[in-house]
Amino acid sequence: MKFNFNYKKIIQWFLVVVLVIFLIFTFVQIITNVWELKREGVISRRNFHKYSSKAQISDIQSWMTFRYVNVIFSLPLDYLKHELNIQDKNYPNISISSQAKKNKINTSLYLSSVQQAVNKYVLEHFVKYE
Amino acid sequence: MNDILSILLSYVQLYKYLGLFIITFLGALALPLPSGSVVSAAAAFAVQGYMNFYLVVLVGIAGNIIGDNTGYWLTRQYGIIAVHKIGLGRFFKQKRLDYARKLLDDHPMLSIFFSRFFTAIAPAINVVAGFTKLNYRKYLTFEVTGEIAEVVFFAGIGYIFGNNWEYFSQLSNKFWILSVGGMVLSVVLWKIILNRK
Repeated sequence: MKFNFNYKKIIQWFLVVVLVIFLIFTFVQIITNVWELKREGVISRRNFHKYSSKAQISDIQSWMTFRYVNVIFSLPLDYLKHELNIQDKNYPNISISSQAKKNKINTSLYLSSVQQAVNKYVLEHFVKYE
Repeated sequence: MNDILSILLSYVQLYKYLGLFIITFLGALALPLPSGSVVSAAAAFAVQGYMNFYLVVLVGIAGNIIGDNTGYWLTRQYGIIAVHKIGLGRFFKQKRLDYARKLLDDHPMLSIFFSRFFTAIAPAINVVAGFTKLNYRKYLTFEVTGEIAEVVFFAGIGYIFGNNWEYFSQLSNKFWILSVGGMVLSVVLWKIILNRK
């Protein structure tokens, strides 16, 4: 008995099966992500405007520059410079992480001190944010 | 957020439009940079008043188009010469180049337009288009429209979702993979069915 294998067809169908499995996996990931975002309230008609436009203290990340933080929280230009005793002449055009490295401070700790300083200003000046 | 994206966003905040242009240019030329996410983030910065949204879109489009065309023309002019000089000429026979050009020529929407949405694939398509000397007008048409669509899409995510751009940028990448993968699957199945007939 002779078997006539068409290897090209076998490879084609193998690739099709692999692609289908990959697409199903991607689809399930999308659904899972959307469900998680809905559960956290990120996708929510009621909260949409609140989450999408207003800056939160927790949004401050170590890759951000002091200039950007000043803009999004409407801080006076030199407020963080004095509050955190920043000597760097490039302020505010320096990132939070680079300043932490310069001062040889743990980046997460320094980020936390920046967030506290911003929070202090926001509370003192009764700027409403949620 | 991964380290590369954090570093790139720092540069955009430090150098604004110049940083955005360099990142989108290098991403389109050869480097696997997450330029779509960077454009989304820059648009989110614009929502916060840090940058101008329309300039973000213009600079993003310009960086991508110039990067794509630089890659295309460099490989078109010097690609084959360079490949022969380093001893890999035997892998680039005319028959294979003609086949690759035919693939791009027959499916420009799938190969050129939609590849703009995948920063890992787009530079490779530019190189193949340059190597195979794909008709420049055809390449340019699909490349420019693809880049405009891609930048407007990612900038739109940043503009609409603001501070939550990162969540939706990741989601949109998966959505595009699903869409383009689905199209590729359709084309492959259609060809298999056609061959059977």
